[in-house]
Amino acid sequence: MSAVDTADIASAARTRKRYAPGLVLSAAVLVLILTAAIAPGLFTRQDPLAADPIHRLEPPSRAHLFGTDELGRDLYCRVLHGAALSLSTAGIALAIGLLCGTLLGLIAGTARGRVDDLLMRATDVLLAIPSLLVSLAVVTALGFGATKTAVAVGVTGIASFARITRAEVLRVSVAPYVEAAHVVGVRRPTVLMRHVLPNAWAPVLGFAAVSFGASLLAVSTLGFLGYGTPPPTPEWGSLVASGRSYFAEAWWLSTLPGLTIVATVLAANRIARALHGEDGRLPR
Amino acid sequence: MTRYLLRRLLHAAFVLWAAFTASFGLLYLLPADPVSVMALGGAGGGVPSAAQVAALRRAYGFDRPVPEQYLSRLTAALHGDFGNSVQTGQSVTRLIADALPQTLQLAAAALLLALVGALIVSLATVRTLPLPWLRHAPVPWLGRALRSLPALGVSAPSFWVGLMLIQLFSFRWRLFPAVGDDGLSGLVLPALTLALPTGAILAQVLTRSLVTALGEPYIQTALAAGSGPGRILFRQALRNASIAPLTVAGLLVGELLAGAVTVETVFSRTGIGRATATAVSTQDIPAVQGLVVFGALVCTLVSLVLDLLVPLLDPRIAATAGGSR
Repeated sequence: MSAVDTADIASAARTRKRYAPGLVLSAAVLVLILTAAIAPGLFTRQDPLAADPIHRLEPPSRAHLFGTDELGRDLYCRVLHGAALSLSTAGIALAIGLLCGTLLGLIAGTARGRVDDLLMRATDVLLAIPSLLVSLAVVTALGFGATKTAVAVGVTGIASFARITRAEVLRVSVAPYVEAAHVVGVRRPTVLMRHVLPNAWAPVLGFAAVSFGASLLAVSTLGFLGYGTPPPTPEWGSLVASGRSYFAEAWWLSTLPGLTIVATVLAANRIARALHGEDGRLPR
Repeated sequence: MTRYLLRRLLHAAFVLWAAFTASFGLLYLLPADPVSVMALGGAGGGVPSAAQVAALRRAYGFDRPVPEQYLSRLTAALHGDFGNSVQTGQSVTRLIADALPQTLQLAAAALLLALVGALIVSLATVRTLPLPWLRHAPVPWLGRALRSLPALGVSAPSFWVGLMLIQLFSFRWRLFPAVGDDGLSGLVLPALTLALPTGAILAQVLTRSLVTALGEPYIQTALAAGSGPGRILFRQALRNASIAPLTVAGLLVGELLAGAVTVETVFSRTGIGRATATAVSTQDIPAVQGLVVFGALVCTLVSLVLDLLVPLLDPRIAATAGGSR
């Protein structure tokens, strides 16, 4: 019997290698959805807000791929037009978490001492409360709307980004080339920007890629609960929510926008995993 | 051990205080005028009169200086009083206490489902690994399918999963009621929905730590001693692999509480989650603060209990905790 060591099992457990069909499919899905977000007109000529009461609540057909809603609006068209809002909200949320978190992590990692302690205790608190509750508190304070939900979701990401950045800065700043830079008299900000930051980037960006799916889910959840953009404008979460009222008679109303979210999140996570190594390290 | 305990208790108290302070700052200080926010949110719309606003301001103490407001609210909160809900006029503590049993029931059922589900999926996944002593040919596609299950569970928004379950099990097959919170049959679908993301994360962690455990030398020892695959999986691998998932399960209790917000909304159940959604929708500031601090309290208590439990399960941790810390 051959010796079994962790590496063997781990490599056996690893899913398909790079450029596997799943990865190609994920890339295709993501490219398609990004194109829809940038130029929905390429896929549909219809108006997402144009009501057509004669054709209300029609099941999916050739004319209406995703069927029509209670006002006769084309659901496929609304999902496509909603992509821009949903993806950009998730993107803004991610950017807020990434920028603020990285900045705080840099400060904590370079300042050390009291400042570091204070910032890390703050992240402890942020991580101790479920992120949805934090988002909801922020939404209550700021009010409703797409940008505000982006801020609410972004805030919850700050702690994880700060932790990862800090850990990376601490790891990099003991590297010989950083000490060498200090010794030859390079000023501290320059060392930070030229030597520490570029070498601390990769894991932070990797985590950002892994977070995009979660960010989209959180934004959609807030949209579903009705804290996002008000009704006529299509947004994925609120599309699922508005389909609820007619769900018994029209299964496609909530099902298809929801499937779009699932497909996007799956694709984003799959690609992030490929970029970031198999498991996508968890912050902590 | 006493020092460790004391440290953990102090840390928990700090987290709670910070959660209170942060939510106070966010909810009472950040909005330019919390009173008009509350007045507009409550009372079903309509612009409040100046007299109404002034009365509200006095009632909520916004006419007093900020430090005084903070101290009086903190003292009240320490006595378990978070003020009265703007929406109903009921005390927020009462609101939470009334909604709690329903949510506890839901969360407990979901946690149980998540644990059992994660256990089954991870053990099945591990059994598909190409290990010679498992004494059966590995099925690659089955292993791949099992490994992609958790990723799928994490990617599906729970509000959508809930709606899908309602569509299939309530509308199409008429097995369970679609909405409401009566009885065991009404609990099945919401608990399943709530359990899915939690169980998926648990399954990922458990599978990973099972794989690590299976690579340890004690597995070889057990094999050499003649243990069968079942005994090795359950007695050796699973017991050693259970600590990381247990800690994660503790963290996930908070996520169950948060998940209840969407699940209770989808299934129209009463509970903490529904109360939270309503409070946010009506911008009911005292209620939201009470609910957020309550969430922090639950999470802190759970992680405190786990911090005390884990050393009992793994003596190595107790040794380091008692010694160097």
